[in-house]
Amino acid sequence: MIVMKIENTTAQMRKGILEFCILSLISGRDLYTSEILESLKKGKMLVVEGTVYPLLTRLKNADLLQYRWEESTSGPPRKYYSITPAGEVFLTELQQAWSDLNKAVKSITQNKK
Amino acid sequence: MNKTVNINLASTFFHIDESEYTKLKAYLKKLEEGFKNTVGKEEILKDIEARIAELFQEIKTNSDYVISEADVEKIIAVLGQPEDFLSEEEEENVKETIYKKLFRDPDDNYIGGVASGLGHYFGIDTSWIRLIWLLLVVFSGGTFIMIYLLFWMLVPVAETTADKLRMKGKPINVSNIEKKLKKSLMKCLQKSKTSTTRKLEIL
Repeated sequence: MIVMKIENTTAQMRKGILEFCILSLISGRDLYTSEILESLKKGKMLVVEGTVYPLLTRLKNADLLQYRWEESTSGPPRKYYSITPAGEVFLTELQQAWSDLNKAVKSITQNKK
Repeated sequence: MNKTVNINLASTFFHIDESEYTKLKAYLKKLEEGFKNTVGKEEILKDIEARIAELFQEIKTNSDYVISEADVEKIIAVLGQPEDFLSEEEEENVKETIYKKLFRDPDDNYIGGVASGLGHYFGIDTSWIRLIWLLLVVFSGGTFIMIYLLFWMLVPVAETTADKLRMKGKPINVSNIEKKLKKSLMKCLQKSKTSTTRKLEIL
């Protein structure tokens, strides 16, 4: 028998919408990596920080994000991310997809009786 | 008494217990191993190193602070183990392993479809296989006719669509089966077309 763990299922759900959340955060204002991590953790979207790094690199390589270096007084230089015009377009599409999905899931899970 | 070492993480210096240094190094090595198939691996690892430096910086209360076991464990817990966040990355990189199997090809045959089957199996154009067979038969004085017959008897004919896909080393999935079905349907239609035109010609 396959045991379904609730943690695994929610982790899968979270992973799928993490890119959407990251783009959304950065579209508000330019952020450096630790700020992104902070917000995601506060929103309970993140369990381990390591998840975010490959995603950021992927979004950057896809030209949806770009970054610049800024010196910091308290530690190593910070990577500040900003969204590109292509990223804004992508984000709008994701928002639409999310709201459609949300509606679909709601209608299915609430009308099942 | 513990020996401490100096390390340089993302251009920042830290004192660290030697045993903890080994632990940290092993962790970074493990991450490197985990990301080995990921695009942008160097950048990801550099970013993670910078994050570790940042976290150590927050922990460090004075310039003589020595990074302890608890500190290293804490940052590893915060960043997570490679297996916690790599499953998704890995799936993308795992290539489907396809096992090719030797069949006789009933759609492309002069005699038993042995040559075309071998052609699919080795990925060589069937004409070459046929030429080689011909030469072997001519120069071996009949031995290869026996070998051909043996192949004919022992190698199964690719009957089902799944067999045919396996013969060509293509993964068996819905889209490939669909493609294959469409192809044979087109063939059927063409055949019936030519036969009707032939009939018309006779008339």
